[in-house]
Amino acid sequence: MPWSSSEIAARVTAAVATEKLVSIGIGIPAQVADHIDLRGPVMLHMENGILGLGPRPHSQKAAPDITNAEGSPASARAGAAFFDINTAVTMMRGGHVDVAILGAMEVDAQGDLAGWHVPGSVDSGMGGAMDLVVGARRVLICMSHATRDGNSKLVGKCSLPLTARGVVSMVFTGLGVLEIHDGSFHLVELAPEVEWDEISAATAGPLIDDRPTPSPPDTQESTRESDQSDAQDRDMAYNDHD
Amino acid sequence: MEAIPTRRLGSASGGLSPVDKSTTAVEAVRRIAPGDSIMVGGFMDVGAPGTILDELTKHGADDLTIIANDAATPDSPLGRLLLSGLVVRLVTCYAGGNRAVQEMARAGRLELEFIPLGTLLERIRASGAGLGGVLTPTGIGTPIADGNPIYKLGGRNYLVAEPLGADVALLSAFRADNYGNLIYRGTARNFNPVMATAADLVIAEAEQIFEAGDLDPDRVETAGVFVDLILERPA
Repeated sequence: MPWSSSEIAARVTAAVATEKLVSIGIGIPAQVADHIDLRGPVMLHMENGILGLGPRPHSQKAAPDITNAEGSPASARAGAAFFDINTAVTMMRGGHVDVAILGAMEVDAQGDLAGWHVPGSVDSGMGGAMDLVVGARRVLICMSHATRDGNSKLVGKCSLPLTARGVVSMVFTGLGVLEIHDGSFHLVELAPEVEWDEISAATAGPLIDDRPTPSPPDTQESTRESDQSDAQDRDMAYNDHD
Repeated sequence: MEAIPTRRLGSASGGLSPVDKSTTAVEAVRRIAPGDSIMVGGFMDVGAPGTILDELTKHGADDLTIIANDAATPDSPLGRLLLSGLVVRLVTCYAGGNRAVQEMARAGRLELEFIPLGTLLERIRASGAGLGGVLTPTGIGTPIADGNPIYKLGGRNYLVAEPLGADVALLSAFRADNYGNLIYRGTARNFNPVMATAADLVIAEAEQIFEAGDLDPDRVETAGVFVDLILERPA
């Protein structure tokens, strides 16, 4: 069974459990707030002006004017602070963020990230993603492995206009966890009951099996080409996108 | 959340405001003219001046340019204004919550300009702070940089965020006094404080308005001198 978006969020939350300042985007990354250990060191940041997000409250318990970057009710954990956009951006662009967790439309094997613009289509805009990737020490991506039309979002080279170049170090999808280095995706964990063949077929970019207990094909490059001919066909991924 | 404490100076302070800037939404919106550029505070409708925006949509000045963090949602006050046909241009960093606005842009009925969040902030801040521009690394290596001059400083490449001011700023606060001092709450700050500095006419609404002297100066985040008109948001 591939991971649900909540399970992807839980998996990436575990991967940042020892960090101090983690900034999260909208979509799947926003769900990290529901999984964060409130006794742990991680303070979650969102660009609308909050540091110290806790789990999203049920609506009847929501406090006025405590919201996340989706405009939805949020909660604030012990030690939290509210601030304006100037301070929010200062944290992001100024090098204060340890890890940024974002959605994406495409990630490639060089760590390039595309997530804001589909030529010839109606855009959502880049929000704060471009500022986050400039300042964050590490950038992790949470997204579906393929578009709604079935095209792989993990490609050899991004065909969509970039949000940033060479910044993504890990990708968390419904099928597994992949690291990016040396020009390849490196599979480090498969979701339960997902087979190598499935993630290999779903990954358009070069993929290497780097799981701790390697199963048969140690190294295998996917031969599947992503369809880069028609950007209109691509999943707009509004909800995946910061 | 607990109420923000205020310092009560007693009734003797009443009427001592240097200028009484309190007004109504109808009066305030009369000052907005066709063709105006208007900054709107708020982040996905949180901290947005809904009372003024609804009045502006009724008022009907057209040919407007809106500068805002996002396009909010179709059923929010900003979303309704954007869909009213009165707005010809939106400068923002995100329109993902409002598909109807995106469709308007696709149909050529609304010009949509995207600027990264931090660059939008710095452009507004530069205008309000009297700067000729701000050097930012955001957007280097992306299409944002195409056709723009790149400045190399200390081994790093930067783009210039040029000052962006507006004719009008519409703001929202939690508490205010009738001199225009503003106090915010929670995540409703967002763009409101910086936009207060960057427009010729600054109109703010607040949940409660006090006499000047009744807000603790230590708690004021936007100094009243930036604000021209203040009105109370109906409960």
